[in-house]
Amino acid sequence: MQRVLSGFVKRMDTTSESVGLTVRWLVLIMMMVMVYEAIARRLFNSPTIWAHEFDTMLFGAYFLLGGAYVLRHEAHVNLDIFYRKLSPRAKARMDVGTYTLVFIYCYVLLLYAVPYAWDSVSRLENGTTIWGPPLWPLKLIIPISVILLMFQGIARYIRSLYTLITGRQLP
Amino acid sequence: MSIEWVTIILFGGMLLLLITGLPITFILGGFGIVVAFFLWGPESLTMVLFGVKSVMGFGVLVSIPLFVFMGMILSRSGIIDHFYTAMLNWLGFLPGSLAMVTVGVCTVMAAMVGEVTPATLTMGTIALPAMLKRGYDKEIAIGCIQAGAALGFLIPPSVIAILYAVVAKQSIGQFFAGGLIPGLVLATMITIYVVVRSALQPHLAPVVPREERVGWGEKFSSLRAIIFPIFVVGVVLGTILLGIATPVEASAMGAFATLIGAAVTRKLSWEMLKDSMSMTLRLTSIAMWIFVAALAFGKVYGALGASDLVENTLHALNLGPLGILIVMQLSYFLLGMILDDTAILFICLPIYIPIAVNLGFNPLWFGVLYIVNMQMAYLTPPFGYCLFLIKSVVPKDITMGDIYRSVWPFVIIQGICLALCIAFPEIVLWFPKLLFGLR
Repeated sequence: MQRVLSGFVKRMDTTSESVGLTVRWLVLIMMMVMVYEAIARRLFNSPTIWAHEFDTMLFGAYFLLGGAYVLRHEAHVNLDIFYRKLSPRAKARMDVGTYTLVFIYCYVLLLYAVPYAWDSVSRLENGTTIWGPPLWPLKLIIPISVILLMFQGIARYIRSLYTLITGRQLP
Repeated sequence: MSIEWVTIILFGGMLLLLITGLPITFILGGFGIVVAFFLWGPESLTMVLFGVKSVMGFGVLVSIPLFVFMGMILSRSGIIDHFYTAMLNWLGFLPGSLAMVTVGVCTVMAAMVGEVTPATLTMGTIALPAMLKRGYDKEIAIGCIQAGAALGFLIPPSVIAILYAVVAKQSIGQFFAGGLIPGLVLATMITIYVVVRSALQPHLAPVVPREERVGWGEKFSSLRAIIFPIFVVGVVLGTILLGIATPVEASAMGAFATLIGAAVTRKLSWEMLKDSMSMTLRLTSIAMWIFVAALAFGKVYGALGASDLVENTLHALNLGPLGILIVMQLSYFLLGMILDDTAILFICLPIYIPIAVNLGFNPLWFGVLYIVNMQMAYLTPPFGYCLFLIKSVVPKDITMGDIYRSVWPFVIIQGICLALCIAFPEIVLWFPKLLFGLR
């Protein structure tokens, strides 16, 4: 049992980590696209129709997919002046209670994000701008990011629950 | 249930949850859902996706990761080291010169990047050891670094100004212009404080001994190091304020220029690049996930009429516009002790902005006052952004207590600066009026 749990938690950690380590590169792409646009517009007077739109899309994917990565590093901003002083077990007790809200949040997000994305994917939706890029991959990223976040939350929950019950850290 | 009770439950519940240490994004999102569900039923929950879609639609937010990335590269490149040395070569003879140069370099960095992490980390690793080695009092040394670094959020470009402008549906360029003069005023006040204090109490900040000062040849050759920072300030800030480039383009050009600068100083490496990109993803994601949840939560606020309620309460206290403004500033200050700027922005401003508009406050002025006020939030214990950042780079023998004690003189200076901006709105408004021809 413990090995199964431990395996799941580790797998989630590595998944979130590798997603994060992949999407972090997008900042370079966003930068290069905008540098290209600025030069094309200023120096050659030929602005692109896609640069701003493309960057906005990349940005959406970037911050959404980063959510699970941030949770894996426990870096989401919180008020920790009291929390910091608690014993590991008291922390675990607190987490087991409060993480219900995380799951409610993720669940409701999915409730709306899945149909929203599915609608777009089923008709391979394109944008309505002049450039008109396919929109469905980006919309699909919303539920994927939320699922990643939720599973990272579950991993955290399992870890806390284990500490609460056994008083030890999940190996 | 009456609106008063709902509001009390809403705020009370939120405070309670904050104490549990649950991340703010989940409090706003999760708790917002629970409240909406019980008040209006399941149909009201579409607001949750609204938050995601909105944040994905604000194209200007692309500038946030780019500014953060630029700052990360800048703080790990050798550019600032050389700049610091050059400034010191010229100003070393003055009392408190190291502290003064620290504030000066922070001010220039603030005009290059959009937040406080780069300056805190760079100055913490360059200026702090230099000051301690020369026998500076540790409280002055740590204090001036934090106060200087906090300027990063006031002097444009500024990430918090971008977020504020998006939330308040205002022009980013005007906010940048509005923050410039208060930022320079504050930088001057901090500089005057460190110089005067060092002159009066030389044992706190010993003058650089004559034999350690450099000759004219070295002075002039070190001037090369100031070319690049000035160039970047021109590329980033100049182009935005003159309307040549959008904030997104300017941030991309600035990041690109900084990468080249780091390559020139031979500090660019795979490790440094990957590290910078990870930090950028983190900081951006953190802020944007709060934004997403806050937009959803704001819908609950809006539907409840929480803003009207707060406004009626404030009016019932018979304070007058100035009194209400001061109460708002006090609430920012108190929240600033425990929360960070983004959280305060998303919790307070959806309520305060309509009130400010009703009272006839200039929205630009009101917004810049918030940003000036947040200068204190980065420094005030127990939770201040700069406090924990600086702790991560100081030598082991400097305790959290030392850091807490170091900030007070600077918080007072920041408070005086805020009072000046309230008393003389022209400090904020003069430059944007000049630049954009506002009324």
